[in-house]
Amino acid sequence: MRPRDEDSWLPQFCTVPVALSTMMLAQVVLVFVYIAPTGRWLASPITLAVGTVFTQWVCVCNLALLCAARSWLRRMPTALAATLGLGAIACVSAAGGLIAVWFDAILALHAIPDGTDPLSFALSIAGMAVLVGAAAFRYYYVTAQWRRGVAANARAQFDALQARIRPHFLFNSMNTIAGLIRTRPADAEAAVEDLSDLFRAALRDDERPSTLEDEIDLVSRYLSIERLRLGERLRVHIEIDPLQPREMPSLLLQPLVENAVLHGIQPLQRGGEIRIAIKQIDAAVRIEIHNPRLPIGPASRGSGTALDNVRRRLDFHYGGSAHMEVDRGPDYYRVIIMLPAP
Amino acid sequence: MRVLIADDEPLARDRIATLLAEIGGTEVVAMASDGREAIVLCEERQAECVLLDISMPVMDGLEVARHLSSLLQPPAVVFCTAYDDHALAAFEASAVDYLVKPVRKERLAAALDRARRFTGERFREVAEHLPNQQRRTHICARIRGNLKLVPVDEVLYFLAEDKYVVVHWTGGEVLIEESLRALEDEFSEKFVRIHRNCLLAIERIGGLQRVPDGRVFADVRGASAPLEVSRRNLPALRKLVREI
Repeated sequence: MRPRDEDSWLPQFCTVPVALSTMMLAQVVLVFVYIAPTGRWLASPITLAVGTVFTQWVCVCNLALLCAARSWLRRMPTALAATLGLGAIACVSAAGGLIAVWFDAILALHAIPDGTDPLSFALSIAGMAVLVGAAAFRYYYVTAQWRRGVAANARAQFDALQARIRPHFLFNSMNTIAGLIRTRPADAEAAVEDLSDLFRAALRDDERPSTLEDEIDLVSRYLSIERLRLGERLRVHIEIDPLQPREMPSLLLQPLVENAVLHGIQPLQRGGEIRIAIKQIDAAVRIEIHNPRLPIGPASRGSGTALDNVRRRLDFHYGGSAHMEVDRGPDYYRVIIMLPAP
Repeated sequence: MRVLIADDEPLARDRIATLLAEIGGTEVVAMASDGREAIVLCEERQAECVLLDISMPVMDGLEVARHLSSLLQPPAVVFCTAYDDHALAAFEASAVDYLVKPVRKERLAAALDRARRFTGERFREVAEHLPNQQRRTHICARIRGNLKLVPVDEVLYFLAEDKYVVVHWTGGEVLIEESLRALEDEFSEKFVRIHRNCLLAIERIGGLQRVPDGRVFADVRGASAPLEVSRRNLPALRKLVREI
């Protein structure tokens, strides 16, 4: 996946805020050198003025270069991009240093003490620029990480909201119940109870994680409602190992099973069997949801969103140690989730 | 009024049937559990009104409505859906009604009243505005006034002849009044133009062969004779065959 522009840690160097803050930083370093007790080059206010012109000029050149190179740099790994960026800063600044020595001599400004070796002058300018640049890069990187953290948090909250039950399901279930009330009141009653449990879980707004046991319970409540709706077209086979109690994000399994029903079973004229297997492997748990699907036909609409949602929430809650694998067979669909040891 | 109920959920069908019985004045002539069955039963039982669920297996309600509109005496179609579907917005102001589930008795009675006042002309007009960016799953032909549904997946090739297109499929041949051009646009993912007058199912291409006089023919899996490929379409077809 190509990184999105706003995700890059490299800021937009051509924008006023970034350019201005970078120039301010360069100026701070210059003044720092000016007031340092052992200042050699910046002996008088006039040389400070000349130095300012020079510094800002080098700074603008660097900004322009980084701005132009940004679209390449942002596709590279962070370390490589930073190294190349600093290398570019070193070259531009050294060249600027050499040009400065030359100008100083031609215009007889004497801002640079006579007898300074142009090469060592250029190298020390480059060195200073690289140090300042490295500090700036670090700052941008940390800010970007922080921003990403905030965004991930917001995303996770949004995902948790989205994982809530789809409106279609509510209205279909209501329709089922309306159909059952007169002829099979006991089934209608059970359906209302199941539906209430599902919505209690979906509408819960605290951040407490759920437990694996509760999640399995929700899935079976969901399936018993769908079994009423789809009749014998929906067959379910559930196989669950004796499990150690453990916490997990809420409403993580139900959306996957809902997918299996909506995109697997429902489009099949004669329906099919959903197989759910939950196994304890040492301290980890392996969850497999298998459903048949139409051999050919349109790629199921909407299933991608639920999958992405579950994947992101797994990443957020387990920080990459949980895995989700999707196996799209010619006439079946299988999702496997590995939850790591708690 | 003769009513057909099409819904893939048995409880939903039963509930509508119960409501219809309570309202009175209608006769449920058939219940269908998928889109294809709905079309077949609608024609067979001469339904005057179809209560049509949108999401059904085999063929969805919107496609069913499109096919029904080509009947000589199209029935009034009342859509039923569990949740407001944007695809139905076009219907809101039309003679054809739509209901949200769970359907209210008064609302159903009102829809039936509208259906009684319905004319086929109006439906054909509305059907033209149905969202048709979606590919059809079936081709609909009329044989001596009867509807014949041919699954697109079973079509070998379309051959244009005079003002008709002949659909050659695994179950024989039927005539349809559609243009090859429109078919090509609609089924561009599954069919390829091999000649000015011919669209061939990509999946059925068996291979290409050159005969001594220089012409090229495409073997069609499931058909008795190969089809001629025009010079113009040959390069694109060669490329496609290599990719398969």
